[in-house]
Amino acid sequence: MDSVVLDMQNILDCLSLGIVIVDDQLKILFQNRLMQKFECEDCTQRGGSLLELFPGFNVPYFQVTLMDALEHGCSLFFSAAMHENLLNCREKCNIKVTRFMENSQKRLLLEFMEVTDSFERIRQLRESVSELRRLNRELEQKERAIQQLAYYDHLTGVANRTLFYELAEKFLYAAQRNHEVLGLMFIDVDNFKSINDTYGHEAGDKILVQVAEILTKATRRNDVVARYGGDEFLILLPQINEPDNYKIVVSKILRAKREAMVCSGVLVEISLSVGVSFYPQDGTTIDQLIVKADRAMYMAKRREGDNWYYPAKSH
Amino acid sequence: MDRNCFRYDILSELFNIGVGRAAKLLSEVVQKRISLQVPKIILPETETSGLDLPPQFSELFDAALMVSTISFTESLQGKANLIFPADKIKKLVFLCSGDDSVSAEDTDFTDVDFDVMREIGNILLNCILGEFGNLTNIQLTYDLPQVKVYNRINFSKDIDNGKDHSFMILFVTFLIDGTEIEGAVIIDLMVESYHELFRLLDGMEAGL
Repeated sequence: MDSVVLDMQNILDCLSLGIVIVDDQLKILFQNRLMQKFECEDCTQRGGSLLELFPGFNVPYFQVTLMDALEHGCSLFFSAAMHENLLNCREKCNIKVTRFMENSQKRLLLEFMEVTDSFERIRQLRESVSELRRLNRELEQKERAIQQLAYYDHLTGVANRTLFYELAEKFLYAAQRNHEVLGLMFIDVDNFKSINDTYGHEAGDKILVQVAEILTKATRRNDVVARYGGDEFLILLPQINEPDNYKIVVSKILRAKREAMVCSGVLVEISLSVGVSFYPQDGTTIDQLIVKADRAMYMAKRREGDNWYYPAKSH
Repeated sequence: MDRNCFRYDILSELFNIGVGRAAKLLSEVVQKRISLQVPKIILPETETSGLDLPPQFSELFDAALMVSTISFTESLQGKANLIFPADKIKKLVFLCSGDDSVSAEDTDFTDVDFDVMREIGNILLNCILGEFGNLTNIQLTYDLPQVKVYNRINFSKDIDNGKDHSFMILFVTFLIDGTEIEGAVIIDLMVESYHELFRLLDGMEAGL
């Protein structure tokens, strides 16, 4: 019989599980060799208890559930994630508890399944995922920056020619399909060359930024303000229901505060010339509409000072 | 008292005691106040009623699910399943384990997530089945929960596989640190066990 016990002990010592067997008072009857790995002294000989071996068990949660397991025979599972400090070592273990009977005596078998490697793998995986997320965020920011450079004017932040033509084609198609009016405004800063020559290019840039702000504020949400080049701006006005609606936008532009601080203490009044054309009456392509609006803008410029011109109305 | 009302009342009481006990244990483990509520219980109207869900709860089962299942044997035979929408599991795991290193929306589960759900399922289902055993004086024999992730269709197929089953459904709500996570416990009883359970309950009623 003793040799059977010895054989069993040898077998349990060979397992890659930590094994502890306790009686109904949680006194340790057996622990296998692997338990030493979890920095457990051998309590078998001196009749130590599970609570001595693992002081972490000395809380109501374990006492209640272990007594339940002894009394009712239900199995228990304690996860390493929820009981990180249960063992006094760096190793992490899930613990499975099963009741069994030995000569009518209730015993609990505690199996300590080491999961330290899983935790380490998960930690590494999360680090990698976190690094990937960071790189992905950086990539997205760069993509946005590239898109901004490709479609928006670097100085004023409004659409550039590329974006203007892309949107203009779409708006024109929608106007054709839905039988709507599409307006196009050509805006030029009066005396821009003279401002540049007098106050320098930096001052000219400030004027252009201010003009872009004026135009953006004066337009509706779906209108498109674009810098066409130099001191020339274009505005697309889709879905003009009433032919005279464009006048509201023109009036907002011309009424806007026009002073720009170009250098310390120097205020320059901005004056704009605006020309307007409409699909379908002034042209059926974007280029035709631009040419018509440009001509109208020159008519307005000839009148000097803030002014606007729409050929169809003035003829 | 109407027999069905008696059955409902006694089982509701039993489930609430079990769930209350589980909440107390879980609160201690995670060191946060956890409240577990059972807003609705559905008992089978017939011995082989299918898994019919009221509309307000059916969306709980629409997405991927994580299910912890305990099979019990001997006098009463069947399974108890603790079910949570998979997209809420990370949040629950985070709240219970305190591990905030992963996004709550992530639904790729690690072994550690499964282990945490196994322990939560173990606590909750042990408490519920323990109360069942106490009430009916029946010793239920069961092992640790098996934890699986299902899509809705596979879960329905799996749970509705056999015809000789009847289902009791408890909708459970976890309230942890101001976060509400809804789940359900589905107790899947073999027909003979269904008869046995209600025979025992009716015996209790007669004894009152």
